This record gives sequence, C-alpha cells and structure tokens, in this order.
Amino acid sequence: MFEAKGKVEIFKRIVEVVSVIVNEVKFNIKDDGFHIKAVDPAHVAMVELNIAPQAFNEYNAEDTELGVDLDKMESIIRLGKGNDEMDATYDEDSERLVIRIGNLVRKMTLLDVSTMPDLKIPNLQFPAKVELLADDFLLGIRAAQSVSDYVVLTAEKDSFELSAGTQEEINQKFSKEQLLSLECKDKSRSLFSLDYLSSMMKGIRSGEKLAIFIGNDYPVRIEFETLDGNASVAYLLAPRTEIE
Amino acid sequence: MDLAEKYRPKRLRDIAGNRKAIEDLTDWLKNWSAKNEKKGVIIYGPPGIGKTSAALALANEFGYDVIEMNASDIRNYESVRKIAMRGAVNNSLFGESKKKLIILDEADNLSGVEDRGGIKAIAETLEVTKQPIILIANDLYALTSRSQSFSKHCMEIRFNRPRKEEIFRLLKRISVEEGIDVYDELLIEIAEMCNGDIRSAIRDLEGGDPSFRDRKRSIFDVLPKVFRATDIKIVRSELMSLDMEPRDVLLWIDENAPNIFEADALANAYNQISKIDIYLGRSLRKQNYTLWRYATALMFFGYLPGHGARYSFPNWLREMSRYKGRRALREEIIKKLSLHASSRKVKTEILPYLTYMMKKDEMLAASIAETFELSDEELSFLLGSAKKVSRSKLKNAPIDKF
Repeated sequence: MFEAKGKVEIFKRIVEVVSVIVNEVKFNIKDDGFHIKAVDPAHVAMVELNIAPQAFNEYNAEDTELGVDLDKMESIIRLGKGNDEMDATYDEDSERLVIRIGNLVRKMTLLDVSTMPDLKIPNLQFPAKVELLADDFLLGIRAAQSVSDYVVLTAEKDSFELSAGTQEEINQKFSKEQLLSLECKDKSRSLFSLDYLSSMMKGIRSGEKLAIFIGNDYPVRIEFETLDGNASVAYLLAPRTEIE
Repeated sequence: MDLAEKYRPKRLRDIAGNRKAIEDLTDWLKNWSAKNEKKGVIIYGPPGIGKTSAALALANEFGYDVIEMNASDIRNYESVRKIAMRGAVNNSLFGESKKKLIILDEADNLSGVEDRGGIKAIAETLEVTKQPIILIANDLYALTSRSQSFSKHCMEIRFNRPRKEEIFRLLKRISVEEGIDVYDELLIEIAEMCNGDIRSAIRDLEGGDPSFRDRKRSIFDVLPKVFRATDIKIVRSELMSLDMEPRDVLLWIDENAPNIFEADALANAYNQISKIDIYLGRSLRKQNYTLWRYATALMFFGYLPGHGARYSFPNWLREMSRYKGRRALREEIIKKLSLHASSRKVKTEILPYLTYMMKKDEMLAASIAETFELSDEELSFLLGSAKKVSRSKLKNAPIDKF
C-alpha cells in the first residue's frame, strides 16, 4: 500500500537527483519514507536517497517496492508547476502507479522489481571530510571542465584543493577558514571523471551544503540534505584508474 | 527453470574442454597491464560451447567486478561509451575496486540503426582502456574486419566444440542432480546430435526428447508434408520438429501455394491460409499462444499427388529484411513525432500528410526537423532525397535570399 500527496517539487527533486545516475530504479517504500539506492551500469557511481514522510503533505505506506522508469515519471511531472499539488498512489489491482496533478491523471506501468536486486553499499572508511557550500564546489567543477575530463581532489590538514589539467591548468584552493569544516587525518588525493561529477552537480541545488568524504586513490562520497532537510542524498563515485 | 543458466560453470576448471584456450586466457589476465598493447582479448568460436561462461568464470575466480553488454542491450555509440568506456577508465565501486573486467558479448553481432556507431565506440574504448576487455564473437573475421583496432589491441583465442564424451558427462551430472529420469542411450544421442553446442544439449535434456529439436529438419523437408501428407499426425510431428514460428511457416505456405494448387483447389487453399492467419493474429493480440495449435492444425491440405515442386523463399520476408534499415529509421522518426498521439496514428494519419507538406515547403521541413530534433538522415528519408540533406543547410537556404 502506498499513497503520497505533496508538491510536484518533491517528485521533481527525486527524479533530478537519481536520474543523473540511472534511469530505471527501485523505490523502496516504507512507513518511515522513501529509500532509493541505485548504481550506474558501469558500476562507477551510486546514489542513495532517503526521504522522510514529513516531506509530503500526506503520506501513507506499508512496505512496497516499485520499479520506476524515471524518464516516464519525468515526462508527467514536467507538466506540473513546482507548487502544484501532486498525488501518487500505487494501484495494487492493476499494478500501476497512478499520478494525479490537478485533473490530470497518469497511470504508469511499473518495471519488474524481481530483476532489480537490493544494492549493497560498499563499506568505506574515509580519512578526510570537507564541508562547503555547493556553489563553491560547483564553480571549481565548471572551471575544471574547460581544461580536462578529470579532476584531482586533495585534502590536507588545513586545506582542500581542486585541480585539473596538465598544459592548461585550473586550481581552486580552500583554506580551512574558507570551508564550513575540515577534518583530515592524512593527506588524501584521488582523481575523478568530470562527466560523472558534473552530472551529479545537476542533482545539487545552489545554497545546499555539501559534505565531501575523500581518501587516497579511493571513492568519494558527497552528501547533502534537500527538501528543507526532509531528504538526505549521498553520491558515491569510484576514482579514475591510475596506472602505476 | 533455465538449466543452461543454472549449470553455467562458475570455475574455469568446470568449463568443458578448451584447456589450452583457458590457459591462454588466464595468462593474458595475469600478465595484464594498461601498458600492454593487447589490452583486450577476442574469444571466438561456435555458439553454446562455453565462451561467455569462460569469461564470467575468469572474472569470478580472479575477483573482478564484471561490466557486461550483450545483444539484449542497445549498443550504439552513446551507450557503449556510457557503459563500457566509462567502466574502462574508472575503478569499480564493487569487488576489489581496481579489478574490473569488461565483457562485450556477441560483439560480431552489432548491426542496424539500433547499434549505430557501437563498433567505433568499442574500438575507442580499446584505445583508452585501463581495465581488461573481453570481446566474444562467433565469427572472428566479421569482427576484426570492421576496425583495425581489434587486431591491434586484442589477442585472439579460439574456442572449439567440446567432445561429445564431455557433453555426455555433463548431461549425466545434470540429470542426476535434477532428478531427471533418463536412459544413458538418450543422453548419448543428445550429446551426439547437439554438435558441440552445450547450451542446446541442456535445453534438449530439459525438453526430454532430442527428436523434439532436430536441427537437421528444415522447412524444405516439412513443406512437402504440409502439402502432400495423407495423415494429419505426420504433419503435426513434422511441424513440431521444425524450429520455426508458425507465422513464418505460414509465409512459406502462402508463397508456394500458387505453384502447387490450381483453380478451385487454390481458392480453397487461400481460404485455409486466411483462417490460419486469423488464429495467429488472435494468439498474438491476446498473447495467448495456446491458440497456435488451431493454426498449426490447419496447416494440412490433404493428399495431393504430383510433381516435386521447387519451393521458394517467401518474398515478404525477403523484402522486409531488405528494407530493415529504412523501417527502423521510420520507426525512429515516428517515435520522435509521437508526443501527443499514438505511434499508430502518427504512422497512418500524420506521417503521409506531413511528408507531403515537407516536400512542398522547405522552410516548413526545416522547422519541423528543428522542433522534433530530426537528424539529417531522418530528414533526408522523409524528403525522399537520395543525397543527405542537412538541417542547417535547409534552414539557411531560403533566408539567404532576403
């Protein structure tokens, strides 16, 4: 059983945040909210999204798994405005997701969840954690894109640095004071593909606070809260393969 | 339950035969470095003999995370880059992080509009990859002839058909574990008849009767029975042993009926053909394939004495395959146009008028192409132009006149 009412904005955010990683996804719906874990087909990037029931105006759910094609969902959601009220209900008889925006009703067939196994989030230990504003990080990523297809993230005891390029170079260095916080045990440095990072940035809104966890030649974890703190998102990205 | 999938070997030593090939494959992976020239390997050989199984078992044994693309995936330029190439230059989130094996199955089978540019993307991936790549193909030449990168960057390893003794042993093991009650004689027969194809041998074991899937039976053996047998039972068993869908059998019957029947008999035959078609149509529409039996029961025309006719290949099938590319292109266009109407409606009611209007008015054609993001190729197709029409050229042409 599942029924949720809320602003179109909420559903837009779900699609926005997840579709940068993958288009077909399993919604794990429980009475304590929405849970989504998904990995991209190349096994390089992952998204974890949890939304609390408080994000919605009305929320009623027992354990339900829905296989959703996000492209389809997006095609209906984009017809609504952010503040419009939207209602999503799972119709168990027809096994369809019914979406209502105003007097518009879209009945959506779902994907077979039996072919979508639950993902195990890899167990990672990060030596460094950086907190900063999304806008600052986004600026660095955009700049890096103009000179390279990958970026180096480096955390040290009192600084965090983003750099890219060999001939044409970009460098963005934050001192500890320019960051919201910085914890770093050992110097940590990893390379990441910008095509992934920049698409993840599309899921992040200006003004949101990012927590970035990094290690040495190790995946990065980018966490942020959205929807007035009612949703938490984490992206995981494996590093570029470096040749020894 | 798909036994062939269930008994897919997890370890290299469980692969039937091909010891030398497996040794070469293992050595290749053990000595693999991104600095090697042979960053890929092509495993080739006939179907069902363990090529994919060997690749998967290799990954499993050496702790590699697998990124697999096969014929059921769309493999055009974009998607190969998005999956294989991204996988090739980044670590994995799973497994031992750096160890990732990229497997491109049925790599000689990229074709048509759907897989456009796929070969190019695979070749580019081989150039830049920092992870080992395995390409799997039936026909080595069909693959290597399409890009020089394949031979340059890939070691070639041939897989051979395993011996029938090995297949027999495997079938025996499966039948014991699955509790399938079967004589050894039948297992020997299956092992002999499968011609080295382990997958189809296991399917035959599941089917329980090797004559059910006699690969030697062709449409040319079955058609004479359809037209001339005296006993419907013979026809039915012949049709059962033929690995062809009733729809295609009907096309053969339809194509050849005029050469066999005359006048009234031909009229009767067509009457019967139309009834078969009705049943096939219903079974398709309702997705109820038990209705097939009514269709196949009608594929019996009673004894007809006479000469041995020469049977010809259905023209319909030939024409359809000849225009496969053009049809795929048209479907693609219809998909783009079907925003507020069903694709059927677009095909039958909108496209013909639209095409006519576009041929008459270049400006309109350009703006339609712009709105629906039609590619130059799709635009040329609609305009029925032999040479390529460029969207931008079309648009600029009339404006220049002002």
